Amino acid sequence: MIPNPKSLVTPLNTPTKVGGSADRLRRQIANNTITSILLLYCAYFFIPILWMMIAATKTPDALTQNPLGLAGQFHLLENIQHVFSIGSGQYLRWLQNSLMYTVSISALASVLAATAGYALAVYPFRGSRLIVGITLIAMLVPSSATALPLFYAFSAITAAFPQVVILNTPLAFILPASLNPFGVYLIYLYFKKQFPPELLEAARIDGAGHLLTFFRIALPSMAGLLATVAILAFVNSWNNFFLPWLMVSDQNLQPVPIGLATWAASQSSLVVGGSTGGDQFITLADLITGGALAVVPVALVFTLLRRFWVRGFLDGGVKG
Amino acid sequence: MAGLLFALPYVVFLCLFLLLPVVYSIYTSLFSDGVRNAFVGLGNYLEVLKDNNFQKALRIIVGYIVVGVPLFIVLALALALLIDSPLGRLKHFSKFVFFLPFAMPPAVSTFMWAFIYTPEVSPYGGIYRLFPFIGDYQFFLSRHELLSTPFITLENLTFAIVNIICWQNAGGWIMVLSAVLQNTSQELVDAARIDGANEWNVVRHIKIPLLSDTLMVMGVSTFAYVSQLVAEPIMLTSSLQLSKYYTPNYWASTQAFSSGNFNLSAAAVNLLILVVVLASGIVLRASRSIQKQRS
Repeated sequence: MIPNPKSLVTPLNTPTKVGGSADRLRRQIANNTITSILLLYCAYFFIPILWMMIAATKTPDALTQNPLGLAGQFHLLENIQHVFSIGSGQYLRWLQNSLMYTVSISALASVLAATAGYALAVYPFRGSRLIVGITLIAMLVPSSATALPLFYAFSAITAAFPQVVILNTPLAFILPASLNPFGVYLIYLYFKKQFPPELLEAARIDGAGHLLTFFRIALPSMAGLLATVAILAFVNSWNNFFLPWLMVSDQNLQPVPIGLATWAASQSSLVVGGSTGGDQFITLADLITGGALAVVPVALVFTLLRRFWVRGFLDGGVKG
Repeated sequence: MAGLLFALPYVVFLCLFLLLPVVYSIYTSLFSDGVRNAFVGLGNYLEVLKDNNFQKALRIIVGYIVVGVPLFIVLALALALLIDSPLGRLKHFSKFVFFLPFAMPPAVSTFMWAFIYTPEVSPYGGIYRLFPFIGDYQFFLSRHELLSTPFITLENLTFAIVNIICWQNAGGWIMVLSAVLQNTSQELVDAARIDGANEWNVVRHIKIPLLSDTLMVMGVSTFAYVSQLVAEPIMLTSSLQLSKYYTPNYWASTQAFSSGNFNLSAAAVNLLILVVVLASGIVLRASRSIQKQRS
């Protein structure tokens, strides 16, 4: 962690009145109050996660008999094994699907953002301002608002041309989810506000064509920002629920969140006991372990690379 | 020309997966019984607005907006300001912990909270078991009753789901707000402190005005998210026996999915999109005019 420069500076700059032991006391009380409020909220945000992680290591019986305590015996590996065995490896298939979807979506979203953001900023053409305007509005419309129109449109296409089936194929989720106006806008802003245009001019004078300029000069300089776009697209599509829920109803094609929701829905109410999922019982322990496993990839990507993520937000949504 | 070629893939995606579906949705909403049949003008919109379940869903979503949006903004703003204040300790640790839920898939955090709301397995229900005597006093419920009383009922469901939304999303915005504060406010804040301004005045007159643009973007996107609310209710439907018409967007997808009535569904969806676009337009314009006033 980089030390916060502010914590080094403020004590000097804060006016300290002379001889105030009452003042010092007040300051101490304020200090402790703020620290305790922060700790309280740390508990609020962290206890559910901690509980789920501990719960994933318990035996199914311990889970319901002793919800507060630690695991009597460490049962995580057995739980994972059981989750993977349900419905002849259903969960593993969902994981595979999720990975395939998220990797394709973040690759496609990055390509679209890199080319369009660059072109809109550097080579304005007739109608390019309109496209930027539409991009701005599209950024603020959540994807859950436009998911149903996509569903009607895809159904209508199949109704008109029976041989063109999009719904219930991977493309029905991958293609719409790759449209990421926020990513395009980030790259656009970068070339509009930060990138020195002389560099492109120099390349042109040296005789480099448009493609060469793009690959040799523009692409390397936006690589960091493109990482932000890719991470955002990865996390958004891994976490997306409503769009794949509408688009992919075949259980063998669903991503993890939808699959888990199906498991959760198969429990009439979230109480003890279980219900059948294919030929085997799905227990509370399965749901919790499956949920904990689904968190791992995205938590890794997000936490390790969160600097990229914040930077993306600052460059685009806030200052722009 | 080169520009158009480079931008072409994105433009095609924008048309195919955003503009055309929305246009088609408007077109569909003007007909009844499939597209080819009768043109009914705005009839579907009237029918949607007259539908009992839709009206109920509207009232519910207004409740979510009234409770959820201010609560979310106050929570994120207050925690970001506390993290940015010169007093107190454990700032980096707190920021990290607050951010963790943001990385969880909403599907997982929703049913994780559903477990926490279920007394038999909840870690908070476990507290009753730690102190068995709690239930022995007559004016409390008996221990057995406590364990079998669900934490959430239809009456407090709004709070239960708003809690999930806040828990899930606050950390991301706290990161953004405190990054904005750290990037911009240092000289101004130092100057004010040297002039003897107390912490409250610094917050009130310097930090909050600095954040106003960010707060507006945050307000719009929270409003947009809550007004389209659909994923959380879908996930909780079976465990809470929710109606499949619980929110307007859920109403629309049930119309399309179960009843196969795309025309009514499209009318409802268009109304929802209109509300979001109008709200963001108004807020963007307001933020621009504030910027003009300042400069």
